[in-house]
Amino acid sequence: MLDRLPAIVATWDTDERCRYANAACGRWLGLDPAAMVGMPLGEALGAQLYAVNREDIAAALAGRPRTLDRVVVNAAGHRRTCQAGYVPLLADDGGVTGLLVHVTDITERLERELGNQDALAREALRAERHRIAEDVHDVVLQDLFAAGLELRAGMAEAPPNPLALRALEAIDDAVTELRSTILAIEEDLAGDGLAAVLHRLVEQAANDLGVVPVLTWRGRLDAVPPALGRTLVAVLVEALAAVTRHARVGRLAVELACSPQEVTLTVSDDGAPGELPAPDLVGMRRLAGLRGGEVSVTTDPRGGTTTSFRTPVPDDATDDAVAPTPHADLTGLRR
Amino acid sequence: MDEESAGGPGTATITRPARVVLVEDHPAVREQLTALLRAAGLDVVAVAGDLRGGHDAVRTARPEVAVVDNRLPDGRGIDLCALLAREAPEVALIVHSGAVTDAETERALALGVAAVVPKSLRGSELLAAVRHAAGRSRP
Repeated sequence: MLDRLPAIVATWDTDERCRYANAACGRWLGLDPAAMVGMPLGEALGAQLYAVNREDIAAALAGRPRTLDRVVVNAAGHRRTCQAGYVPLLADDGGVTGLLVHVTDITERLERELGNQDALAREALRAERHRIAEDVHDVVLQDLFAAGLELRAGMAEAPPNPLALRALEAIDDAVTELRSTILAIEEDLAGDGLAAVLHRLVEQAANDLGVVPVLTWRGRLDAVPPALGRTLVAVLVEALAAVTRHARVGRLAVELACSPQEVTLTVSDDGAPGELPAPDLVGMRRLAGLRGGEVSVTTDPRGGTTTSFRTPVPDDATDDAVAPTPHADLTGLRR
Repeated sequence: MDEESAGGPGTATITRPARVVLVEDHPAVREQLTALLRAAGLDVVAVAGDLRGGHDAVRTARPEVAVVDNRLPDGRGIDLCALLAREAPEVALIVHSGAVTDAETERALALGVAAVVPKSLRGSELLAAVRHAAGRSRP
């Protein structure tokens, strides 16, 4: 049943060895799902993908579920945007026995969002998001729910197998999470497209640098007040401009983490200092000062810089008091 | 799962199982939910896979309870409930859905729907809602 899902579903034990991978997972990684059982996670993902996911894997194995959107390259070499969830698998005593990973490819949705330029396109986008929510419900959630019900029915005829019980709970959790995703898509039809703007900026910078970017966002971007969204765009523009001054950049990673209390935007690369001096990030620091946030820049002597902008989320009604004055001209970015 | 009470020892009356119509488009979900309801002692008298079929089934079978998936191939389960609330007010209606928005829940309850139950593998919430609704719909 799980092999018919378009979404990737796989489970791993605490030693990060594969317990189960569905057909979509095998297709994504270019591996035989049956041969994946017992395979170390790092070997299945490959070094680069494993490095990108390591923090989320560790969090799930520490009992903390993670959900995020991320741009990655699959086995076929195609750049895909994915919505991923890392769910801890728990024993009866609450101990973590492994993790369940589920990944849904949302590239088409995002590409349509990127093409959203006017009111007509926005209406089309709303309809498309509605259709996607319907698809996620009618195909992914319903199939997963059916698989869970069948598993549950099978367990009624024999003494419950602890592994099957855990799988059942994981499926139920995934159903709950999918429900949240569907509702988030449906109830965010009037979103301001912050994700799309950020995505486009990162893509532009990555193209200029000749690298494949890793873009991750966590939490609800739609909950970011519009004025803070404009600030984040300005900060990202400045941070990416700084990266383009570095030499031999082979990796560019951008992460936006949103909680109801604060937002953190992190831009990191592995480049060496360039001929031009490192910028002092005047605009970013000024915006952080106005918002009660902070900027941190760390450099690795072996090469690589991480710039982080963290700020509290203000009350939306009063946020226009801190009008962002971007360091760059943003009008040119809204192509 | 609890069996529907059939009366205590020494009682002469036998409680008839509550009659239920299930409207659910996914074949495997429909099959498994039917088994779940029957295992709980409920009498699933008809099943349907779409709004039109559900409408016909409820009007023909006149069950005590109709369990309706909200997302059906030919429309929203809540729209079917709106129709049934007028045509068969004696049938208790339950919306059972993978995802129902707050606005839809509000509308369903305003129509007189007995409960809006999210799909869960535990099943206990659905069974409790059906039993409660069956108790209310009987004279």
